[in-house]
Amino acid sequence: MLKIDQIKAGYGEGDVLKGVCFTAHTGEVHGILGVNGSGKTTLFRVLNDWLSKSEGTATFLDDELEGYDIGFLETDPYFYPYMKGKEYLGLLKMKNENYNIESWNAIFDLPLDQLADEYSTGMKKKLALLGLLAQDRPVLILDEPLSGVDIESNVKFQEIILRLKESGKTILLSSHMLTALTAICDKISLLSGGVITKTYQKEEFSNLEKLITAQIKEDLDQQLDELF
Amino acid sequence: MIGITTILRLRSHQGYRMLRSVGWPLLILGVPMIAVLSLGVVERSTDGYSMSLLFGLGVVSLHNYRKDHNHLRLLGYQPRLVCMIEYLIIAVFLGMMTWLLVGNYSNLLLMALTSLIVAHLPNVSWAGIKKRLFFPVSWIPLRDFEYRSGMRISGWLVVVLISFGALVAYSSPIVPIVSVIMISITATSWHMAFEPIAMIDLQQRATQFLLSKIIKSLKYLLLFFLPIGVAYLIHYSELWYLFVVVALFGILINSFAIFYKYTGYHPSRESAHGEMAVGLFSMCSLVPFFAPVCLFYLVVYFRKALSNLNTILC
Repeated sequence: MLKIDQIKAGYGEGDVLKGVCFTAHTGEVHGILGVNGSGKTTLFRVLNDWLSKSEGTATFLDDELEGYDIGFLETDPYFYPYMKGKEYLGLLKMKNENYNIESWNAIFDLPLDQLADEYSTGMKKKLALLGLLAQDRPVLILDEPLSGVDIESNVKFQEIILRLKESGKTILLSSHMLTALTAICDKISLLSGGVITKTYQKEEFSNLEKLITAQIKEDLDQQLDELF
Repeated sequence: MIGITTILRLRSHQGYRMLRSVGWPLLILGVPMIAVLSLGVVERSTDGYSMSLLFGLGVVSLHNYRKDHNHLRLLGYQPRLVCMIEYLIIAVFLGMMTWLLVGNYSNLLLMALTSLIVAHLPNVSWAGIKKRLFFPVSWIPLRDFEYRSGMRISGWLVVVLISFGALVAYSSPIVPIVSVIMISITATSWHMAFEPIAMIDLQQRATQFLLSKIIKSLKYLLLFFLPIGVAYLIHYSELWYLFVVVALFGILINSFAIFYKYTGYHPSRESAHGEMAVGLFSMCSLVPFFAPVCLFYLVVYFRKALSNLNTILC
């Protein structure tokens, strides 16, 4: 179980995260939903220890969450210059003998003999996902995994995430695509104003879509009323 | 002309930001060093032509390195004109300095002429050419990814330098020495890019991590220096210590590059942008008087790198 308790963090003056609390169970996909700048990436950076938290704790299976527990898929992954895709995966395979590069790549058919830093955005994301699978970490944090990939890969990504969940991984996921989130996640937490305002269970998802759409329309109506 | 002044103002801002990125202490140390080194070069040639040669080499590599020709065109500037003005400013500064020091005004004319010629040279896109000329790197283990990546891009240069240093060593002891210096400087550039965090084994101690990087650097540098060293010792065995000093210089600047990289390492950034800092450190290291200061800086950056890595490694 991944337990996030009262995490506060920010960049300089003022906290972006003002006491984030939620729990993600093992074998669960927990979605984090929020508008741009709500602190989703900041939260993920804090969990990865890339950014210091001023307060709060993050525990996994009752121990402090460590960097080596986490596999992180960034929004815009980057790769070492002049390094081939095959070499990147080969390096990660050294720590996971069971990982078969060719079998996994058969899903995406990436040109692994090409330099990874010359891949397109979508290809980079696919390579980063393959790398994440090679790492085989118990906690997976996926920041906007579906943005920048084509429709076919989108479906493949979603299927892989569901299989990872079934294999017992604890998955945190953020996305702007509500339909994708509701299709994959078991719970969705709404991050707003630096705190989790509400966590929705699967049975409430249809309601969530309506609620969010209604909220957006209401806000937009007010703005448009002022403009017209 | 207003357009050009805007570009020049932009360049001065870029230059200022680059200098600031180095850090004031190293800058305070480095700038006088560049002056001392330049004076040394001028002093060694009574007519100051060595300075013109250095300027020429510098401006040609700068011209090849720059990637702003298309951007300048989009902004409505003539790239050749911008290049010419920028190179001329440097030429006038260096030319005047050389004139004052050796009393030979022809260097000023020579530098100005070089600026005009280089500005009109085509700005070749090396990316495509380099890709076809990649140095074979399958003999380098995957875990030495910095050297795979580095050799892929500048492996041919290293091979040329090794061959030149070893085969032409008979002509002068300076040839192998210069080869070793140039190989060392080339290798520092391989330590500028940050690896994604997935490529780092997080379950190791910071000292262990840095030590493994230094050992790796030593391994490759010694491999590169070996053929040159053998040729040098055959011809100038009585000057063996000179080669040792230069090899130590190579190890020193590469260690500094590694420490500098991991001082600034952050998983969400892509590069240390340490070319300027490592360049200044290298120049300082070449002046024996400043060797203790360089060693001091090496220790400072080693400690900084340790402290930064301690926050990332578990």
